[in-house]
Amino acid sequence: MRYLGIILFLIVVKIYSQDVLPLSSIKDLDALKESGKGKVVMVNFWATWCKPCVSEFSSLVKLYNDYKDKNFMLIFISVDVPEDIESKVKPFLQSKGVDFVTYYNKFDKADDLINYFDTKWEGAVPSTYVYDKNWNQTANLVGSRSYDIFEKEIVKDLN
Amino acid sequence: MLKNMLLTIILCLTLTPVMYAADNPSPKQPGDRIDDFTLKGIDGSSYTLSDMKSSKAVVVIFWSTECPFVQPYRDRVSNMYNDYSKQGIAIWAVNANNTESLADVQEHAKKNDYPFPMLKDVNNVLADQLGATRTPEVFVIDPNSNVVLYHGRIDDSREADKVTTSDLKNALDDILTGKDIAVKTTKQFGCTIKRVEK
Repeated sequence: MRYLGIILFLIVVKIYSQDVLPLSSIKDLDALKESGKGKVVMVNFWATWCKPCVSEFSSLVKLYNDYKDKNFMLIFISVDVPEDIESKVKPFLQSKGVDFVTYYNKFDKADDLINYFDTKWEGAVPSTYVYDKNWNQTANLVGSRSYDIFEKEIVKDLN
Repeated sequence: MLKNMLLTIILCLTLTPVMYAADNPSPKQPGDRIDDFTLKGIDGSSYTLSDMKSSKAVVVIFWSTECPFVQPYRDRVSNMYNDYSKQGIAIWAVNANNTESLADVQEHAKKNDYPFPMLKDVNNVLADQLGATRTPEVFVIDPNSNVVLYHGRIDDSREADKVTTSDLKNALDDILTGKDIAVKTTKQFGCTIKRVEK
């Protein structure tokens, strides 16, 4: 019985940590920003329909696993439509071994989400932003990149 | 010492925007003037902005054969072309993706039976000039002043039945009725334009 309880607990923890949470307001983004203070944060905008996003995804997951114990936070924000979260986004994340909380766009106006990160960004994905421990933007990468380039961008801010 | 410091500061200020522009081009915004341009259509004809002075507007839409964010716009843009070209507005789709050859673009256009001209932006010359970064991305240009009138998305949803604002249509209707465009800039998610390595 005790073992069943432990197994159930572990399943719940696993499910919870694979949550894909909606971002629908500036308040949500401010809370995310707050949670990243004191860490080097990489924010990656992606979608299951975006080929280059899918091809760079494993590099980003590897980067997360390599640096998660070194004050590095990776925030994935999917711009898939909310209707595709259960049927496409979650299965994709599971197939890539993502075992941490990620997010999806639920803003009424795409402009609000896009402009929060970069007023010069028109919304092309993949796009990746890197922030130092004080949330100063130190890299702005439109288009896919390799592991080495992603790593270089976060290492420069990790002291 | 002071002279060196001043020189360094001037260099940093002048180089930084160039470095940013090379990596992430800044898009032309409503009110900005652009240079004349000529692109070859996939039909072999030349398309030149300065030849369009009798048009009320030239709509440039960066397009892709592969981007799943572009394909659902086939009917909407085809219908817009059919409606607005009769009213003096030109619509040109432009493929600036280095990864999509002329043959790919021709085949795709034929398969989709697009009524609007499809132009090939070899080496991303027009995309660089306009600072375009995604597909679809729209620039509406006044062919007499070369000024950008509207920049952004076609409408607010990939799915036709979920559209709540048809931003490009609204802008074109404002142009046709002689009004100032109410919403001149909009944004939307889309696929990156696949540029040549320079």
